[in-house]
Amino acid sequence: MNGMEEEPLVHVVDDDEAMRDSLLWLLEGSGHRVRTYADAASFLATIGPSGSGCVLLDVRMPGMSGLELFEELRRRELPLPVIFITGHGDIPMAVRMLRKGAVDFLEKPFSDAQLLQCIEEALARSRILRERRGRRSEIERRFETLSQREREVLMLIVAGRLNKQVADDLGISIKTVEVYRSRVMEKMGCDSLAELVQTMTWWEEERARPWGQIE
Amino acid sequence: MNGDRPPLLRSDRPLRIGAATAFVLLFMVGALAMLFQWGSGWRNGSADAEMLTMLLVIVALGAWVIVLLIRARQQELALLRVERERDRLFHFSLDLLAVMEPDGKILRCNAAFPRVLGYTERMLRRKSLIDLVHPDDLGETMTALRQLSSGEAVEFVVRVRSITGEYRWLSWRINPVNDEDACYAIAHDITRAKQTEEALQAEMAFRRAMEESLVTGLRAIDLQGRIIYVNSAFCRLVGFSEAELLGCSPPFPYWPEESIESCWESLRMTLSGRFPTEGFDMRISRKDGERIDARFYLSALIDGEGRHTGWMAAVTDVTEARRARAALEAAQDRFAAVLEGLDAAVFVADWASDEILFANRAFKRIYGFDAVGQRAAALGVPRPISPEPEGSHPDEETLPRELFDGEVQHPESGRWYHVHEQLSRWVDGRIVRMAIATDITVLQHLRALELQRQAQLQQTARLITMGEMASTLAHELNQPLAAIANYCRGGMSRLAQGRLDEAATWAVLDKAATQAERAGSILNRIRDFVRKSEPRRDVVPLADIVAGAVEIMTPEAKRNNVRLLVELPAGLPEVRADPILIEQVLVNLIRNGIEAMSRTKPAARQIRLQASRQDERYVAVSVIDRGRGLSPEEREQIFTSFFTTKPDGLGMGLKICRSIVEFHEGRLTVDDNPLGGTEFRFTLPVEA
Repeated sequence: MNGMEEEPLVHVVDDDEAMRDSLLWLLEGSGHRVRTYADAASFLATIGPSGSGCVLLDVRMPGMSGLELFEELRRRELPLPVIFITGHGDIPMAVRMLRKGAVDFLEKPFSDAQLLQCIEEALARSRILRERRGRRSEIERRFETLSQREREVLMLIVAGRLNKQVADDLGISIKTVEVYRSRVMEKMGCDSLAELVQTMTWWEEERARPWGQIE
Repeated sequence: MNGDRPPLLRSDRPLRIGAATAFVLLFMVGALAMLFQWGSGWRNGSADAEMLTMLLVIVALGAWVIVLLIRARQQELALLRVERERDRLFHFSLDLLAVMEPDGKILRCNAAFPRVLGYTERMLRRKSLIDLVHPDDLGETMTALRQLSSGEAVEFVVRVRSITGEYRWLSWRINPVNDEDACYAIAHDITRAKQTEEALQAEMAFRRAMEESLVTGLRAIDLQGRIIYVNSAFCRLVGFSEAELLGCSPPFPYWPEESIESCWESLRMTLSGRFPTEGFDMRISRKDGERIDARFYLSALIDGEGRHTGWMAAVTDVTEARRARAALEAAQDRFAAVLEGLDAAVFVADWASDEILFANRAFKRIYGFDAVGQRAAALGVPRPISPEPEGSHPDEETLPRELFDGEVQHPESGRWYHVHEQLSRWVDGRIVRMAIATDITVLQHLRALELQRQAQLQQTARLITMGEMASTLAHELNQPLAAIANYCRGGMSRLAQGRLDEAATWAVLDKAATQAERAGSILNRIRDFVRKSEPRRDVVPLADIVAGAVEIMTPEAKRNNVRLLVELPAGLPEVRADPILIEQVLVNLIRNGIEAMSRTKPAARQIRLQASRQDERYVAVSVIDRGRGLSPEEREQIFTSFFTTKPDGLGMGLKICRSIVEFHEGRLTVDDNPLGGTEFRFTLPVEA
């Protein structure tokens, strides 16, 4: 949770030194924190699992290409939205990448305004992704603390079963159900049944959602 | 008569002479003895009478001896006379007579020997018959002599060498005389008879051989039509044996059933002597049923006394000849048709006179239809420089021989011919030059075009490379340009925030400048490359450029079932253009058109190439396809770099086309073909 306060990082991965250097100059001039990498491998070696920010990625690079790096980031479910930069446009490829969650596909030469706007959007997305990831890991952490019986009770409550029904389902007394229920509410940090249902529903949805996708 | 000649017959003369001599000697001895006795008696006187008696006896005996001697002499003379008679007969005989020893050694011979054989008698004496006979007859002679020595009389005929080396046939008869060691031989010169006989035999053999080897069948009939003679060829022809044919009366066994009437007609014609001298054809049925066509030549048969005894027919099988003639005629027709149909000119000219003996249609078309009979040189037929000195007679051993094989230009028409000339023998035995001339003007033209095409292809390849290069360079240029923009924008935002110090400004400006220089060097590379293939504008007929492009694209169009229709009006002005570049533009547009019609049904696939004068300054050229057409968006983008609708396209073609046209101060535009498809249209400046 301490990452929330941290300034987001713009990662620039480009094999052209002048591009890296000039992007560093441009983006720092606009108040961003920037890190540059000459290739995909050095980037992957540096980044940790947390930390917000975005990636400016050259499509054509020696070694691992921008597209391959993009796939790797998706696989790792890092909250780092990707903006592609290319010297030579390929519409079908661009469409494919956007579908997969890339923020944009910028063709050189691009205007600084266009780039900065893209970065703002990417960082916003990054924040959302981070929040979601935080909330999700919080839920998961709490859920982990539940015992097997408590999880069974939780599932039945969320599904709308009354205490008496739960007691019948599980073959325990209503009293016992009530004890489990209060323990679940406490462990999941929810004050009401409505809140619990909402939390569980969001978690369900979040797990089903492809990475990087914003509603 | 020669005295030292031995007697023809052996006499008893030596015996008699001996007897007589003995008598005389006895007489003498007796007389001496008596004289001696008488002398002694005188002395004793008692023996006188006895002595006288003895004397008388002696005288009587002496007289008797003398008489005997005279008688003997007379007998001898008579014998000698007989012998002379015989000698005369011996010598004057026309036959060769000889006395010889049983081994053939000649003891005596008569005058016929020198006459017949040329040797003198002396030359022949003691010579053996064996020395004189022909080597081939030696064996026979030896056998005869062996028989002779065993006491038998022999008869044989052998050749004997004469003094001239010729051989004479001699028929010998030799009789041994048993009580004498000699034989009497008589030989008769039968050379003449022998020669006649040989000649006769030779002629017989010749006739037989002729008859056997004759392929012409001979058949003679008498005046009644009966067959009196057939030769073996005739038998072979009809398949019947001589025995089956001889004596046959008509209808003959070889008359076919189906044409028996015409056979009768032919026979009647023959017997009446009204047959055509050139012969007539008749169908014959062989014994095995096969039908053959035969030609009959007839003549009257006249015997030794000049009597007309029948008709002789010479018959030949013309079935094969007919078939062969038909085949030959067909072959000749085909040959003539081929020769006449040839594009190559074929002619035959007499070597010596240069007169054209034969010319095919192609030759006549080129040199005039009255070419045959004229002199080849007079017609201007290209004549290769002959290795033979003019007029010399070519060595006949080496015919046919190649005279020339090469390319010759016709001096008047300027057309090129590939001429292959041979010295050969013509059908009538004349020595001719026979030539085949193929017009290779077009071929040569094509060869030249091909060379040109090669050069153009290289140019085209360079253009394509240029396109690829431009694509790469565009990408490369983007890098420094983007970097420069970044440096500037970054500086600007810092300036706005008031946080740009001088050192940073220096640094960033330096970086931006470096990137600008990098861009410049990239551009220099392009320029260097382009300079090598800078366009050159010439005044050229538009039709030539279009034709060139169509030629290049025809194979590809054919492969794709696309018809290329060139619809250029006459009288188009010349344009100022680099023909290779404009050709490249057309090639590009045609290729695009072909590719755009890949889904069009083949029958409708066509590209029309049109041109028209747009105004005073420009000519417009259109390439119109019937392809899928372009959407409005595509039309917008079609001239931008890297825009392509083809899976493997570079997206440079139209961009380059537009650049080329614009370089020529023209415009390249695109429009819909109202009939479906697309029309690309570009303008080119007219040569003012």
